[in-house]
Amino acid sequence: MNRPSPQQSRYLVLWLAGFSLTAVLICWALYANWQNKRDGYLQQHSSIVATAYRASVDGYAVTTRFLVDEVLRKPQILNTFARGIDGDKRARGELFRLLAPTYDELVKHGIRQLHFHTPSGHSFLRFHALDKYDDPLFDVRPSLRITNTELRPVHGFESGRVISGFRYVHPLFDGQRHLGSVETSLTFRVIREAMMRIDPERDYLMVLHQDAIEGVVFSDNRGLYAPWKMNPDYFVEDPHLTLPDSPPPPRAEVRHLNRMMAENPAIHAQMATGATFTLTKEWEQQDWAITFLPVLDVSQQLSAYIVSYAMTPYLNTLRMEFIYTIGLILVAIAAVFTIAYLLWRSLALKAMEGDRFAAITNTIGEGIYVLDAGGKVTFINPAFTELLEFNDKEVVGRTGHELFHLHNRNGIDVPLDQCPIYTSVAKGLIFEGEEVFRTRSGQALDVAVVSRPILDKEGQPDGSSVTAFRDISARIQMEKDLHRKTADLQRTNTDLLRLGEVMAHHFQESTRRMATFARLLRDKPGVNADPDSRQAITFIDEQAGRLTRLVLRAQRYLELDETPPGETAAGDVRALIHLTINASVAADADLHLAPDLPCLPLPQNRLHRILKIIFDNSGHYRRSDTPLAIKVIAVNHPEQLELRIADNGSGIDPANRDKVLELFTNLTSGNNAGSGLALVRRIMRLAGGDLRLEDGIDGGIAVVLMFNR
Amino acid sequence: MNNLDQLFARFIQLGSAVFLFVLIYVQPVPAAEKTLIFAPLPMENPDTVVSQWKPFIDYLEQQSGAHIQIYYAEDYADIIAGFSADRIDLAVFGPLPYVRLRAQFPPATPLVIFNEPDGEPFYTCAMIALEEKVTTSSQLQKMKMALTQPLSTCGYFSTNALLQQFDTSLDQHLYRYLDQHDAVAIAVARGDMDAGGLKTVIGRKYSHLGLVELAETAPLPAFSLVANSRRLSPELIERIRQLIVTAPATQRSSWGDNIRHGATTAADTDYDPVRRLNPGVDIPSEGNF
Repeated sequence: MNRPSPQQSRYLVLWLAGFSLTAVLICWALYANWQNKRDGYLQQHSSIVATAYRASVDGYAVTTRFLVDEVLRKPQILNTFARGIDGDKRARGELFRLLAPTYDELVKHGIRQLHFHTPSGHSFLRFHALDKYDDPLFDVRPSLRITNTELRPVHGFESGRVISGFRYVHPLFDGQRHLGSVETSLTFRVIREAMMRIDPERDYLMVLHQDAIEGVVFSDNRGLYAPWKMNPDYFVEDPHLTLPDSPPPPRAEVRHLNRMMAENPAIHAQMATGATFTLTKEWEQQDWAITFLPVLDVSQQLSAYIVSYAMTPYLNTLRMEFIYTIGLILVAIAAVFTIAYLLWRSLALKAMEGDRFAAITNTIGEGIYVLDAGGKVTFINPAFTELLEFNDKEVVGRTGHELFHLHNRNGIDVPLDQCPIYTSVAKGLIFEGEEVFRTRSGQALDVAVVSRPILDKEGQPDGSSVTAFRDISARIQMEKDLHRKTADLQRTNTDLLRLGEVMAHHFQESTRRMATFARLLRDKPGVNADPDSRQAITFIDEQAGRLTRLVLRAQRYLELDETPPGETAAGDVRALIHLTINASVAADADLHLAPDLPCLPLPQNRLHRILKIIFDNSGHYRRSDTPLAIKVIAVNHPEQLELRIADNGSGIDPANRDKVLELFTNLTSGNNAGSGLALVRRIMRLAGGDLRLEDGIDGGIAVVLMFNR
Repeated sequence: MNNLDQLFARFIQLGSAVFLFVLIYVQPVPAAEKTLIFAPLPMENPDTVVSQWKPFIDYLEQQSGAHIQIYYAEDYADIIAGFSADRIDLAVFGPLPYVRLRAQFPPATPLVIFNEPDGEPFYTCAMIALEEKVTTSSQLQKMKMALTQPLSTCGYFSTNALLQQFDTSLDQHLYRYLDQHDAVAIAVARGDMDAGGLKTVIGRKYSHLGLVELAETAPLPAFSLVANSRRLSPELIERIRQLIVTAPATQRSSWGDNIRHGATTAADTDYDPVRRLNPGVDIPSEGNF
C-alpha cells in the first residue's frame, strides 16, 4: 500500500475534521430535537397535573357551594349562628349540636373542616377543633379576610391554624345582615383522590412551604409537619398519619425516587422560583416523570407544591428513537463522506495522473496531440510545439489535419475523409506509418506517426484519438546516404570481381607462361650447366608457382561473395568430417569425434571447404615428434553453437593468433600463402558466425567455429 | 505467739481482700456499664414512641452515660409484669397504674412527676355533663356515661369515685370507653352521652359548648417516671431524678407532649389521694353498652 502523500494526509485530516464537525452538528441537532420532544412531552405532564388539580379543586367548589346553599343557609342554622354572634353563650353549643351529624357526613366525604367565623374574622366554631375558638384569623387567613370584607365566596389552598387545606369560604347573611362566614375545607387526600380518579396512573404528594406553616399553625399542631427530604424549605404534613384523613404514605417507588432526588439542587432552585416543572428520573429501568406544580394560596402566594409521580415509557421510546436515528444518520454521513472522499481521491488520482501524463508528455521527445471526434485538436505537448513550431493556442480547437498534415511534398491537399490517420482511427484501428507534417513556418517535416483511437468504457472507439509522432528526417537522410554507399560498395565489389577475373585469367596466364619458359630455359644445356643460371631459373619457377597459388587463393577469397552457398549441411556431420580429413594431408591423424555432433547451419560445400583448410593446416603444422591427433566436439550455448576442432600440432603463439586470421599472413617461411584461416573466418562471417583460436591439444591449436542459432 | 499474730494478720489481709472484691463485685453496676430497659406509655405505636420519647432518652443517655433500650409494652399489665420479673428498669405510669404496681411490687420507686401543660405536677379529674341536660341530681340516674380508657385515672376509676358523691356508681349506669379525653368531652357536648369522666382541664376546653362540671377529684399526680430499685442503685435513681428535674427548658422543648413541661420530684406519698379513691376497684375492660 502506498504511503499517503503529505497533501493526501492533509486532505484526510480535513475530511475527518469535516466528518466530525458534521457529525457533531447533526448529533447536536438530533439531540436538540430529542430534548424538544422530551420537553414538550414533559410539558404535557405538567399540563395534565395542573389540569387535574384545577378540575379537582373547582369540582369541590361546586359541591361545597351546594352544601352551603342547601344545608347551612337554613333559617335555624343562621338564627343560631346569629345568636352566637350577638353573645348568646349557649348558641355555640347549639350550633354544634345542630350540625354535628352533618359534619359527620361531611367527614365521610372527605371534608375535613367546617368552620364558622365572625364578621371580624374570629373563629366562632371549629367542628374539627372544637376546643379552639375566638382566635383572630384575618392575619393568617386571607381567605377569611377577603370573604368577610368583600362579602364574596373565596376558594383555594390555604394553610391554617390547625392544618392546611383547600378552603371554600362563603359569607353568611341573615337577611341583609352579614353574620360572618362559614368555611369547608378539604384535605389534600381528597384532592389527591380526585386527581387520581382523573389520572389513575399517577401518585401525588403535597409539601407545604415553611412560610405557610411558621407563625400560622397552632404550636400544638406544629409537630404534624416534618421537613421534606427533597427540599428542606418544604414540609410534609402528618407524615406519621396521626390524622385519619391524611393521605396514605407514598408508594415505595415514590419514596425511593424522593431519596434519589434528595440531593438535586435543581429542585431547590426551581421550587424557589415557584415554577411548574417536570423532572425525569430512571429507576429500575423505568423512566419516571416527577412534576412539580406550585400551589398558590388565595393571595396568590406560593404556599405549597403538588408533586406528581408517573411512569413514562414514552421517554424511553423517545430515547431509543434518538439513539437509532443518530446511529442511522451517522452511518449515512459516514457513507456520504466516504463516497465523497473516494470521489475526491479518484479525482485527485486522476489529477495526479494528469500531472504525470503532462510530465511525461512534457518530457517525451515525441510530439503528441489529441483529436476529438471532429478531428479538432484538444491537447498538444511541448514536443509538438518544438517540432512543428505551433503553440497550444494556435492549435487547440482547430482541425489538425488542415493545420499541419501535409501528406506529401507535392503540395496536393488531401481531404479529411481521405486522411489515412483519420480514417484508420475512425475505424478503431491503429495507424502506424510515416507521414509528412507541416511546420508553422511551412516547412515539410518527415515524421513517423502512431495514432491510436481512444476507446470508451465499452471498448468502442469514440472518434477521438491520440497521436504521437517523431521527426525522422535525419533517419530518412541517413537511409539515403546508406543507399548511396551501398550502391558505391556494389560497384566496388563488381570491380573486385572483375579484378578476380582479371587475376584468374591474366595473372594465371602470365605466371603459367613464366613457369613454362623457366622450364624451357632450364632444359637448355648452357643454362643447366651454369649453376647460377640454373639457380635463377629454379627461383623463377618457384615464384611463378607461388604467385599462381596466391592468385588462386585471392580468387577463391573474392569468389566467396559471388559464389552462392550450397544446401545446408543437414546431413551427417561426422561423415563429412571423415570424408574431408581423408582428403586432406591429415588423413593419417588420430581423429576423435564426439558422438553427438549436431547439424550445423552452414552449406555443406562451405563446411567441407572450412574443414579441409583446418585439417590441411593440422597436417602441415604437425609436430614431428608426435603422431597427429585431431579432436572434434560440439558445445551448445543458449544463443550459439560451437564446433571445436583441436589438434596437437605446433600451435600458434597467442600473440599471433589475430595475425593469422588476416589474409596472406604467413608466420612460417614455407610456401603457404597465409590465406586459409582468413578464408575460414570470411566464410563464417558470411554465414553470420565467426571463429576464434585457442589452445589445442598439448600445445596445439584449436579452431572454434561459432554458429549463431 | 508471733506466728499466731502473723497468721491472724494474714487472715485479716486475705479477708479484707475478699471483702473488697465482694464489695466491688456485688455493688450496683455503674450506669456507664449498664443497659437500662425503659418502657414508655403502653399502646403507643413505635413511631409515636420514637418521636415522643427519643429526645428524652437521648438526653438521659448523654447525661448519665447509660445505654437505654426501649421496651414496647402492650399494656400496663405487661409493664407491671416486667417490673416484677426484673425485666424493666424504668417505666412511665399514670397514677392509678402506679398505685397498683406499687401494691404488687414495692421496689417500684417514683422518680419524678411530669408536669401538666400548666406547669403543675397534679391534675384533677372531673365528671362533666351538658348544662342543658343536667339540672337536677335526679337526672343522674341511668345515664349514658363516656369514659376514656379502662386504666386511665380519669376514666372508670375517678368517675366511679365521683359518682359516689351522688350515691351512685358506674355499674348503675351505661358507660362506654371512648379512649380520648377530648372524645369524651365532644360526645357529651354533642349530646350523644349524658355525662363523662375526663381530665378537668380538658373538659374545660369545651365548656363553651355548654359543658359543666358535676364533680371534681382532689389533685392527683400526673404521669410519673418509676424506677425498679431492685435493679438500679439509689445513686443512679437519684442521679436520673436530678437529671430530669433540672433539665433546661430548651432541652425539654424537643421532648414529647406529656413530658416537655418540666418535672417535679416524686414521692410515694404523692399518690395517697389516688389510694383514697379506692384503687382496688374492679375496672371492667369494656363498656356495658
